[in-house]
Amino acid sequence: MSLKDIAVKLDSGPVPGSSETTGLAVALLREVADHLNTVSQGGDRQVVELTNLPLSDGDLQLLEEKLGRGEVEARINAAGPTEVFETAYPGVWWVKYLGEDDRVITQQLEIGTVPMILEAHREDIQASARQFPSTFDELDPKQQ
Amino acid sequence: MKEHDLTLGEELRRQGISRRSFLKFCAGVASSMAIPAAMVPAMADSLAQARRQSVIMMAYQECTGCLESLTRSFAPTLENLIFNFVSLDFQHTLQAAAGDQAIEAIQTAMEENWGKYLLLVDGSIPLKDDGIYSVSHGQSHLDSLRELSEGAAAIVSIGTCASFGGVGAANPNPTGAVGVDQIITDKPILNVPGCPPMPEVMTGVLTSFLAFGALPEVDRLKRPKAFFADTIHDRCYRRTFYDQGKFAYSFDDEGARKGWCLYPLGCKGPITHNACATLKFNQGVSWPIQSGHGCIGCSEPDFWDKEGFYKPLSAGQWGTAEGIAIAAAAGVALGAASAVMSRRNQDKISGGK
Repeated sequence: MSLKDIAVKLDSGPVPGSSETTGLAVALLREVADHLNTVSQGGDRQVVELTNLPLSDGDLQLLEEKLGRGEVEARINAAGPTEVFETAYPGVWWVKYLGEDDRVITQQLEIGTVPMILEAHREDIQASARQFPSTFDELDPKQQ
Repeated sequence: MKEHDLTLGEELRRQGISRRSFLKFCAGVASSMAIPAAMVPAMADSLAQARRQSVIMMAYQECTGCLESLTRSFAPTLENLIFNFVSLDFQHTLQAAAGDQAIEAIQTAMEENWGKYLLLVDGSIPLKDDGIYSVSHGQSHLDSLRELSEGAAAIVSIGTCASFGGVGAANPNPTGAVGVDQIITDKPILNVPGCPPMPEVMTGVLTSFLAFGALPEVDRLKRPKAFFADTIHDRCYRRTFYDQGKFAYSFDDEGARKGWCLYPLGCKGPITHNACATLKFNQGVSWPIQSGHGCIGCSEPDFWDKEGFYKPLSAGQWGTAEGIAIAAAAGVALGAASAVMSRRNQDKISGGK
């Protein structure tokens, strides 16, 4: 007899995340609307953290449905993959920080011109400014 | 230039790791600590400016379960970054050195970083008969802890044993085992209890120390509030069944199969402060209650000696004051109170921003 031979009956008990919606998605959409107003009037970037909210799978589905997909999609490789897409509403971005197995570690809605993970950072640009001349120095006949 | 002279940002850039990695790392940590996401860029900047932190990790009267847990984090790609942020100068299970060589490694780390190193302790410390029941390299762990504490900037007690004595201190406590803060009283000490503790808490604590220059705010048992402010019950996905009065009364009844609340089966969720319900174990796969077993209260002091894991709170020693009151309180009121508590906690971390 193996483990498989032991019948296990599980009724439809709760699993963390169900297809039902909780009303939280609507509250979040209102929050996004507020943030959009702020940003459209020149305000700072706003971030809505989705990971720690008790959102059901149904809530997330509703959010994705209502926000839709826009023009930009990007995949970033830094400390594992990160996926970014602009929603149908310009300036509202969905950012998914993923682990190696593409499992979502944390996800956020960012409201602003461009998500922070996409931007090249000043320190990195300064480092490339220092290193870049080496790409043509070695090709320069005067140097050889 | 020596490694310790470079900022973390400079050091990682030399390895081809960009600022985006810092940002992603901080987004993960901020999310687990309920730090507002808008603070992530500032946190990443501050972390990049920090210097590599010397860490000495001592294993005393322990089972190595804590280390097993800490090295199995929720997101390896992200969590591995922590090893770039700290210089783990001594950890006897992980290091290659042994014997005299290993002891030299501690001495060197202590001398080079006197007053600045972070001391991580895993396991309880026996006091009885001058601590003779737990000895490494001819030195009792009691003496070792006293010596190492002297030059430490702060101490983090990892696991329930180092925090409160744990299983070593369980009745009849033959070795007179206690937690670190019952011996050392003149250093900042932070407890990360749990049997085992959650790896994300350790990452959060280390990152706070590096980015904000201090250990995070703690509760009365010296546990970081960011992870221990709420009870398991506050955040349990089965909470709704408790509120509806739907319970499992045995492990194979209808209630158990339907995933109802495990309170009558001895769940200690209502009085246990920890973050298992949101962070989960084994890379987010599951946690005890999701597997159908009540919480045993492993991050609370003396959880071994509270009359058994399967007696409901109202029947056992757990239920003395806090337990019965909380368990009997109306679920809705408790939910609201915990939300306020979390919010206040969040404000403290973010300076009210």
